[in-house]
Amino acid sequence: MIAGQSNISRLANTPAKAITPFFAYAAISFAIACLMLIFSAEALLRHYLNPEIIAITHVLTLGWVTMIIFGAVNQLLPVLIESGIYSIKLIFITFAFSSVAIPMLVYSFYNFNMGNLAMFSALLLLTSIFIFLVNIALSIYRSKTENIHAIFVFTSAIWLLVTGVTGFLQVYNFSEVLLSNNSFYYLPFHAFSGICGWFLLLVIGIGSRLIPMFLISKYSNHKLLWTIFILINSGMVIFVFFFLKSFKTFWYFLPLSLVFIAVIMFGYFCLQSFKQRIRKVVEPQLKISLISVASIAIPVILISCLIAITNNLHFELKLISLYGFIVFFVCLSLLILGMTFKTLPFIIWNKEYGKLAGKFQTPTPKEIYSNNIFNVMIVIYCFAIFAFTTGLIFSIIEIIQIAASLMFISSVLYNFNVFKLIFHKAKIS
Amino acid sequence: MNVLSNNNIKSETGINALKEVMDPEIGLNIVDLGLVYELNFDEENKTVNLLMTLTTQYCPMGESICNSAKNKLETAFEGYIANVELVFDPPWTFESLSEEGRRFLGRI
Repeated sequence: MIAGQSNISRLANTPAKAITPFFAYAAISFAIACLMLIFSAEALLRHYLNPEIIAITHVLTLGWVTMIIFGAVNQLLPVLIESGIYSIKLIFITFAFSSVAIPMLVYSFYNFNMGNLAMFSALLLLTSIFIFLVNIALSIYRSKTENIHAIFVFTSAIWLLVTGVTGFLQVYNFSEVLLSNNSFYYLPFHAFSGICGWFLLLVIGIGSRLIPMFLISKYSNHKLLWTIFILINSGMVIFVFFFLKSFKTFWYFLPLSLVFIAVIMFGYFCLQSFKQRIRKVVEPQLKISLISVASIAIPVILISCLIAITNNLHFELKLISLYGFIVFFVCLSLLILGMTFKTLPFIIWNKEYGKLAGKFQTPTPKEIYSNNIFNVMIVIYCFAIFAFTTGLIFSIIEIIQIAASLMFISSVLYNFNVFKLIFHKAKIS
Repeated sequence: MNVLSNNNIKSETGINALKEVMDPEIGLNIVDLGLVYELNFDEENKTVNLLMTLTTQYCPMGESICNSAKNKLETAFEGYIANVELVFDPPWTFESLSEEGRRFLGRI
């Protein structure tokens, strides 16, 4: 080992200005989705194929979850591939396109007008997904490091593109006949590729890198991760095949079982990382994220029940509402609420104090947002989850409205902390 | 923790300065984390050369940790230029943690 010139510059992170717009957009979308829920509580108890539910679902899936994932992936990919992002300009273009497309698409769904505005926004959104995918692919290709986590991220982005293409065709199919069935027929395909292919693969790909890193765990098991990867993707491909060939419902147990085994295996991976951690004290942000990971098994069980019960429409609809609620508000939102404060404070701290550290007394990343507000936010959110689930199970609109109001309060607190971070300016002493 | 140096007297001052450089995520200083490998002094060119690692390559906080180490060393040794070089061979392992570090993380 010979000391030489400084080589710090090669560590350059993705600039904060390219990442923070995604966080800001996602935070606002989350608040909007919660607000929409308060006024659409009654719609939740009807058939899920109604404009309000479709609009809220897309505010959540696109505005909240996908936007924050876009930002997080562009920030975390360098850690996964040990190399920088291919193009910062492409990150800005992805943001510009998707941030314009999402409100237009949601507005079209809400009014159920699948005309030119819907078609244009679907095309714009698909373009932004494609640009995101190209940027990721080129970043991984340039890094030339074979890495299971990066392969998870890349494959999840491919499934996002599949989801986007399906959604795009569904929108166009309302005006011009492009598909052999009506647009709603393809909804399970669109939802499964989005939830399982995009969200689940991405959560496992990034989580399997970050969870051991934050816990400072000795545990590593690439063989297990490869098995999980193969199981989920096999499940996805089999699902697509069965769907396109119109197989009977019970056949779907096969792909679902593969996904379920993969989820259990990932749970085992997290448990081992937790057991073999060096850092004894686990921060609340990470605890919340681990709970949300454990909850991934619930929607898989709910879907299994849905396949098993084919002759009770009322029960089926209830299960679907519960499934959607748990996927978005428990598995994904809880994970995001926790992980935002394990990533954004560090992004901002790096921007504001990265060059000043060591010269002056600087606050720590944990000191630049309010931990008390974070704790209150989580407590309110947990109450909201409990109330919402109760309201959905017993079909009580008033309880759903109270739960949605609690969620909205929680989202306002989340926004407070996110914008406190985004607008933070260096304070040195 | 075993930091190599060509000047044991000066290196003590340097290591004390580096003990003020924290990994912002873990909250532990880089010396007790076992990130510091070598601290050498070039009296002719008035440079202090730090050879160190990170817990992971492309650690999101890597740039600020290195900048902080550079700033601390230049403050501790006035008139010297600090060079920070990162190496990942040998990589950082859990065994690199000092006893103090293990105690901080609740493992002793």
